[in-house]
Amino acid sequence: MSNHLYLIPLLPLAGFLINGLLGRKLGDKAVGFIGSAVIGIAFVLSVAAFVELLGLPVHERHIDRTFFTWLAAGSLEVPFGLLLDPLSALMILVVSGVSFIIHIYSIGYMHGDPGYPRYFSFLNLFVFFMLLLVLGDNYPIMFIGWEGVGLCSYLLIGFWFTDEARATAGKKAFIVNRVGDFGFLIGLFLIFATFGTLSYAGVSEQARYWVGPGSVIFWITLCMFFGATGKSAQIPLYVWLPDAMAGPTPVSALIHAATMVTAGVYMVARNSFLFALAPATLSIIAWVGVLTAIFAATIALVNNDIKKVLAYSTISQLGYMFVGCGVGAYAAGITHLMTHAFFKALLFLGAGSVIHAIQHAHERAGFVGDPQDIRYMGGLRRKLPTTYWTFAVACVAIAGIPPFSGFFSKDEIIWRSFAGGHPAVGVVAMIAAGLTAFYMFRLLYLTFHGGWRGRRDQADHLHESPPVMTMPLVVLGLLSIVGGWVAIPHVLGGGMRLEHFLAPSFRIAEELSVMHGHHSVSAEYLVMILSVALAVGGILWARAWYIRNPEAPKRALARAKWLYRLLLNKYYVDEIYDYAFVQTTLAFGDGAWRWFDIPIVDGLVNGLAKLVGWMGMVIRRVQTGLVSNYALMMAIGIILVVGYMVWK
Amino acid sequence: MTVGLSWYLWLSALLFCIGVAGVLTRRNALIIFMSIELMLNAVNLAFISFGRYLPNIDGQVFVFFVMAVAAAEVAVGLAIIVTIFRHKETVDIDQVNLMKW
Amino acid sequence: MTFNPSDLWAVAPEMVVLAVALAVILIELLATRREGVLQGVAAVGLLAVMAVAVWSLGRPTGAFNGMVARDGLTVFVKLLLAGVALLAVLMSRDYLMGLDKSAPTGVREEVKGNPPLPPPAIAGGEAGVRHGEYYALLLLATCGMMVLASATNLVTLFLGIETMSLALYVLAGIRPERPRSGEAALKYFLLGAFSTGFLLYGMALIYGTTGGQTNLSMISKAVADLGDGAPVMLFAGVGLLMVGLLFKVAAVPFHFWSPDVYQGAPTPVTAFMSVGPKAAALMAFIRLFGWALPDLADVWGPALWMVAAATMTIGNIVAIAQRDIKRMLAYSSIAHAGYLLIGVLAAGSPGVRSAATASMLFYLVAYFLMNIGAFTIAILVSRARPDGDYQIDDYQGLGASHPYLSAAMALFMISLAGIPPTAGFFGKLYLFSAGVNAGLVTLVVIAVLNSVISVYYYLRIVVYMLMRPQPSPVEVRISPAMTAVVLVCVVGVIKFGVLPGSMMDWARSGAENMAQPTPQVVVDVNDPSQIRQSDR
Repeated sequence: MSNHLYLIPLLPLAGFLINGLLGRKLGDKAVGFIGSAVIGIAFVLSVAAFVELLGLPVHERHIDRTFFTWLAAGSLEVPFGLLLDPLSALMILVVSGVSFIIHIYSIGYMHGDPGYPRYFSFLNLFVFFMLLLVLGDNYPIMFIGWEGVGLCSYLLIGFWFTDEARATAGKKAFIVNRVGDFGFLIGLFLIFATFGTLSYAGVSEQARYWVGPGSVIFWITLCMFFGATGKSAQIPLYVWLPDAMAGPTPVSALIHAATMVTAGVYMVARNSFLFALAPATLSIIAWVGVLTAIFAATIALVNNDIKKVLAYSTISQLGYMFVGCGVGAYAAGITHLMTHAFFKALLFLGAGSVIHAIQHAHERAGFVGDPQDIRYMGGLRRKLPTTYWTFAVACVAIAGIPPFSGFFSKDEIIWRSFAGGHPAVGVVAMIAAGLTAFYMFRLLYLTFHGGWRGRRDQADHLHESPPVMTMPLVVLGLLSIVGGWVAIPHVLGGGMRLEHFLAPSFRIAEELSVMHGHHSVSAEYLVMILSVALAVGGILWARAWYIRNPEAPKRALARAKWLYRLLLNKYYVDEIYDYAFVQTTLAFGDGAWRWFDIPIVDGLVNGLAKLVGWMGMVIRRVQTGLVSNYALMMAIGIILVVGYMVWK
Repeated sequence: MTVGLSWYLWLSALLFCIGVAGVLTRRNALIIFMSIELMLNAVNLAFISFGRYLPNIDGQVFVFFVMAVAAAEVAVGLAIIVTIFRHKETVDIDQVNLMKW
Repeated sequence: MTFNPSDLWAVAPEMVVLAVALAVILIELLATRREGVLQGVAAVGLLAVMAVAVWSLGRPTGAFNGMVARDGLTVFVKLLLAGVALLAVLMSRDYLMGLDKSAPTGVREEVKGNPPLPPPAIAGGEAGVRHGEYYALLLLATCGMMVLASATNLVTLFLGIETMSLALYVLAGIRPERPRSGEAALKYFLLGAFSTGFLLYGMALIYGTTGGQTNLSMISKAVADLGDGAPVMLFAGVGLLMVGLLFKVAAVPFHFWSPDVYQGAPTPVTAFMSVGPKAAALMAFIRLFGWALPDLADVWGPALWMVAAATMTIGNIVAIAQRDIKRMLAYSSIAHAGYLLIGVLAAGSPGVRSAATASMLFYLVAYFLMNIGAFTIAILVSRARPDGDYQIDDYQGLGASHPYLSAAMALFMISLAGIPPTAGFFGKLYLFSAGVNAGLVTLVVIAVLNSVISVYYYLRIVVYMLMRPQPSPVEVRISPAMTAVVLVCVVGVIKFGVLPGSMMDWARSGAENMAQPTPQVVVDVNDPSQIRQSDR
């Protein structure tokens, strides 16, 4: 299989071309079949590659195949090479597997949508770029995948383009990502300038014996991490992800939960050999990760939109993955990436099933309303039993209750934070874990338990989704249960099999690592018990508030109104970004601002874009249309240029 | 007191600046055009005086090319100004600003 | 000083272009109203030019006593220029035919005061554009660009610039019935002639201070001999010459003409102008600054650095505020000129000279394809509108009614923004890595930041096409020639965006195969008798 590794990304590309060019002629059935089949075959091939890798001795598990010289320019030579090592093998397995399940689900979810062929072709294209991103053996290929997934994400968020808000959300996501990509690109140029090569092999070999100044590596890694904060929605660039929920729900599941947003984590893990040389960056990563984790978790506590809660939960969980990388536990971070892909995809698909059912009921009852507001749900347990049970499994998994998958991956990260010498990070991560359990169960109870709080005439129209949508839920539910069993820690009698499998990919980082924390079995037990206790506490609290005594939250909120307001308004971050921007602009001149009357819309991105646009409006005034003014400007320019050269 | 190279060069620079000033201050397209011709002739003067004092023949050759090109420029330029005049009935360049910003 | 017949090979493409231009004029005299024939002759002629250009490739050498170079670089650039002209010719007929049919006076011209006079009479009494004239001028401009790109002497440099510019002045104003066209021509002409004055003055000062040298390599030698004792007048000369060339590439602050001229000129001419003169002038830049004057790099380098940074920043920022797609593309092309100046700066440091030149060549090819493609689609969309306007709003909902056309436009926009996998991305990658290698890290950071800004306005077109409802149905009609142009651009943008290697190899071999011709016989400056004789 490794000789034909290129087939894995090539198949989705073929699917994109077929569906994109011929989709309208083929009909929806064929489009759905082709779109899913190419991913299915890619998944089978990924399994084959994985098995082949497992068959090799541990130290030979590094297959680097160059298919042709892709581009060459002087000292810059980039082959088109794909790298199959434990890290990328696991990633292609997760990406193609989850994608396949979501493609199947989409057949049902998008049924009857006028943009059906477009949807599947974009989805295929996304998988192509994602596989390219994780399989490439050098930075340019990774960057192309990186940009490509961003592009597809943008196209899919704005998929229902008739809606202005959705199109704006897509654009916001794209531009925030570009801001991050800017950092990534600078990092790449610095790598090229420092190491003179752009292949992982070349850079890691030099990094291994690095004797140069550490500051260079610090800046490189910081730039790259800045890129990761854009793609993986971390502070300060997380603002786009909640808005990105405007896209179709399977897209949220695939791109904004399971795969694309984890690209930043993958990138950090892939470059572990560089990050290991920059302990300062690692500390920044750990702190940004854990702060994002708790920050997003608190916002999720009060949000009432089923998808937005999941979006903030995703941001929070991505924070955990970065904590894992930041404390040097790359394998733990990647393990959490995998289990998160299972249960978060499941949560989104379950939410999609709920939205689908409510939307349907809305249509039947001739009612126009928000199908995502959990305040008008409730009691769906009986109406959507499969969705309920799978959703509940995912909630337990994300809350970190053993033996569900989330427990093993999250607990390992928390434990390694303590063991790696970051106890403060560990404590915050633990508190965030408790909050996670609370808000997830709040979501579960409000959605599925109690009585129906929507309109009575709708209740009769609520039906479980078709099997093509529920079967993927069941499969993901099983994975959410057993997915973590490959990472059972030694103290519980497990073998940490995934960590051992991934170890060769992080070998150089391990060698370079300066962190050698102490390992005490009793401490590990203590951390484990504490985090489980916090999770159980969170669940019980949610139960007490939303099942036993629904009046309690209202009373509590009345007492802490300011806090509630702060959380509900997402810490006013969008507004703060706005405000900071407005102040900057006011400094440019209040009168001019009013004159142009640019409304302040939304957050830093629009703000910055507006600032630049405003500058454009001002500068273009210099272009008066009068030849004499142009000549004068030219003359001034000439005096400046020539004067500088003469008097220098 | 001898009249050396620098005298010619200063004269050429002066002519050139008069030309530039004409372009910048006048509003009549024809006058602007004449000012540009003045700039070109200042250049010619510089070329010839350099060529005379270096001494090197290439300066004079260059001047022939400049004169030929200037003649072609006159032909094209006057035609363009005539076109503008047909539309606007004026050659005031301040009236020519349909496109801006 | 003897004439060597093989020197003619160096200018063979120019001679063929000239012959085709004359042929087109003659054919129009013999067979009027044969627009197809004229276009065909021009197109086939340009293909012949390309063949001759390839044929003329040989050992790098000079010709005509060091007046022009005959080397890989010139062949590459001549092929590029002939390609630009070819696509411009292919898209022109539809445009010109459309004019002949539609009302001769512009519909939405906001002429204040006097009502427009009837269109000026043209020989033969017909309104509209004479196709033969048009193609001939296009070819003559191409000829000038070729001379400019291969010039190794200040005289040929000047002649190339002027041949190119004079033809372009007329082309910009070739629709006399449209006030905007005339205005574009006037602005272009006045400012162009103004800048020529500075260019020439710079040449005169260089000529004088280098002891009467006009050949570039002799100038280089003379500058090296002067060493630290170089007079201030030389710096002023270099500065003025640089300004003259910067005007041609529309760099800030010498860019003011370009948005107005681009908007007013007939769109195929705009497409042609946005690539051809830039490519030719940048090659002159490379020969002059990268190869002849690297010794003065610490004099012109910082100035050009500032100009490059200002050019890309102003170009991108002002592009955001535009509502007219031609103006937007004009500012975008200003920004791209700014990126390309990084290549010139990088070429000033000897170590990366070839790599920088090669990356500029690649960028020019990529820019040529994506920009011509974008302009072609702009023509198509504007022609579908009753008033023939170029508003960005016209692109709303185009994705639903014309999916393939919109996909092509989206591709060009993505490529212009420098997002992979498109040619524009690799253009930037090569160019910026050359910049980094030359130590221009800050400028490259500015450039990358700028390309982030540029995403905003390029993406706006994509957003309008894909994510807005269509206000009123439009029907875009595409002729085979236009289809061919768009297809060539699409295939090129994708090809060089996925597999840029082959083109980059050509660009590299072109850049490495570069001649520095010197005159064989120099006028002996120590022998006054030669001069005195001519004095009498």
